[in-house]
Amino acid sequence: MRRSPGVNLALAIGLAFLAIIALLPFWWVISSSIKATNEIVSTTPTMVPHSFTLEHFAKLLTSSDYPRFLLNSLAVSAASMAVTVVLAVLSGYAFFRLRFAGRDFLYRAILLAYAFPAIVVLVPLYGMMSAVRLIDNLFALVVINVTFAVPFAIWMMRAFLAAVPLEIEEAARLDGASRLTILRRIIVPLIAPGIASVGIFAFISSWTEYLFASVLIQSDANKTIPVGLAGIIGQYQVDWGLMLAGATITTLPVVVLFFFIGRYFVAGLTAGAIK
Amino acid sequence: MVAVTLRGLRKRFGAAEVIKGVDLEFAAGEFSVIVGPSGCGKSTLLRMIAGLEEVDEGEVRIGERDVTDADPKDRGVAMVFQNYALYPHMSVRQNLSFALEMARRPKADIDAKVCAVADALHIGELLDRKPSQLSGGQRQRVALGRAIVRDVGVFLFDEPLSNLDAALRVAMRAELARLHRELRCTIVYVTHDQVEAMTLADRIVVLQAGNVMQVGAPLQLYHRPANAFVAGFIGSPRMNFIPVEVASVGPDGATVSGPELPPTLAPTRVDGLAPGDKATLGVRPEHLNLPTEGATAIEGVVELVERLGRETGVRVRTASGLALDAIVDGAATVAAGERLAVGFRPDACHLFNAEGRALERRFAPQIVDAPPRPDVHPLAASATIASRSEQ
Repeated sequence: MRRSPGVNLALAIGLAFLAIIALLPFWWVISSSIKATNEIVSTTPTMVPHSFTLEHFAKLLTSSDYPRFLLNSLAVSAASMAVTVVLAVLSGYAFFRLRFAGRDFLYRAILLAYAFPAIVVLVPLYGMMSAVRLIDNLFALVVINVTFAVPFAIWMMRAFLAAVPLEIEEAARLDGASRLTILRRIIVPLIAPGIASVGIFAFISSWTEYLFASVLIQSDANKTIPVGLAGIIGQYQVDWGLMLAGATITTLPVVVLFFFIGRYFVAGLTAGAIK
Repeated sequence: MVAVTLRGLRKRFGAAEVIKGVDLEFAAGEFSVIVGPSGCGKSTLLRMIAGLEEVDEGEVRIGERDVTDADPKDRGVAMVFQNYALYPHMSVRQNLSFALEMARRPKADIDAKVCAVADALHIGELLDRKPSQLSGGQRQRVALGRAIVRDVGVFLFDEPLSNLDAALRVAMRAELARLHRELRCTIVYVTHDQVEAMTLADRIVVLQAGNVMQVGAPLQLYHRPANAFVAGFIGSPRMNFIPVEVASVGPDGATVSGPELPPTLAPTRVDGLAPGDKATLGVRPEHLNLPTEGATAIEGVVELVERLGRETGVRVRTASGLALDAIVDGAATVAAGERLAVGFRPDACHLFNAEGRALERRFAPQIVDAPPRPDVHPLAASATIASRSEQ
């Protein structure tokens, strides 16, 4: 069906409007990070920078704790991603391919994790981490991030595993492969897009996690980026240049990740939506 | 070559029993075909032999071994699936060598075996392609190759030709017959296509609702079906069934008649049949033609004409609403809407009692099962028409 030019124009305007809403904040942050301080705090905001400076980036990387925050965030997010992927693949396979008593109950139970806002479990989790002496330890953040990412990651795996015909696995069983060999040699390569999707999801949710990092981490040396950046806001003044440069660099790993495996993430979110 | 024996096999899915106590023996080196309508349990039965479905009751023996609880890989069977089930991320070579790798065979052995199988199936030039780069027929050959490469005694086929077009199906049927002849293996083949069953099988097993209806050579099932279900399932187009009432019984058979059927002597044994009993007369479309002398004629209106060149398929609707399929000469001038009488010779008809059990025909070829001889084409070894004599 051909659309009339009027409808096309209206759609284009609508899409452009939505694109501006989505992209403008990014443009503002990135363009402002290279503005001189007086232009940033000017009462007449400028959309296109009139000045150019890299002093905020230099200050951020040389005389702040930001490089430390960056390394901490990278370590926590990479570890959370790796553990989440392994657990999601193994449990996804178990939930959607194996028959065992209590399977449906367990599957529903893990999704129950999303029934409660994170803040509700903050105090009990703090108590638990304290009991095992993991307060102010990055490992605690990995545990928390994995705990919250795995249920959704398992759910994401469902569509990818469903797309692998059961007969392929049965053929491998007849060919003499063990369950683990089937998982490693047959299933994992076939659900690689799903694994990439789960990886991106786990990385981004760890990368942006603020609540638990702000409570469980106490020393500057162990802070992650969201908490570290928040610390730039002082009681009496805010160094906007530093903040904007920090925010700009913070988006980089996510952009790089999306550049390489982002198309799998989109496939992951839409898989199973239509036949 | 090993035999496969099933004893008292039962399978339930929840409350539904899909295999209801099946006893079968697939002889060593035999090409057996299990046929039946969708949902009759034929694929389930095959999967139970493969070990892909658990057996609720009964026993599966392969050769001398009881494999009822054995893992699929330990049964010495290979299976070709309906959708081929090739490993999509692996090349043809990797697909063929996977089972040998799992068996930890030396690399040189694997390479030699893969090349030999690829040559035998004419897929040598495809070895480095992925399944997605192959046509349906080529994928089918790779699936066959993956089964053959394993050197097992029993091959299981689950509707392997159903995804192919008609021409390719005919070519693959010939290929399968050739493979069976060369490999001298035991084959259990599941299909819903009775043409595949008739052309490939040494022996056909007809299954309905989890029960074995009849086991026999293809022509035995065609000429001497055990019941109305087998009679209707084997043969294409399907057999015509005419409800009748028994007028009299005698040493020459039963005389039956119906609303549009004049009294007709069906030359069958009459065990248990008495005048006044309800029965069903079966006439295959190929035996229902334009009436000749001595034939029983039925008249109706032509509803459908299908011209196939050599022959013409005609559907005639009688006054009582009975639809009869007939096959007449390709040159016959028949048109839809006109009145037409079709007829059959009484010795070509089948008679079924009120329960649907066939009454033994007195004039029908006697088919004797012959043991398969590996040095002879399986289709030639399958059955012998011994005589056309009265029982």
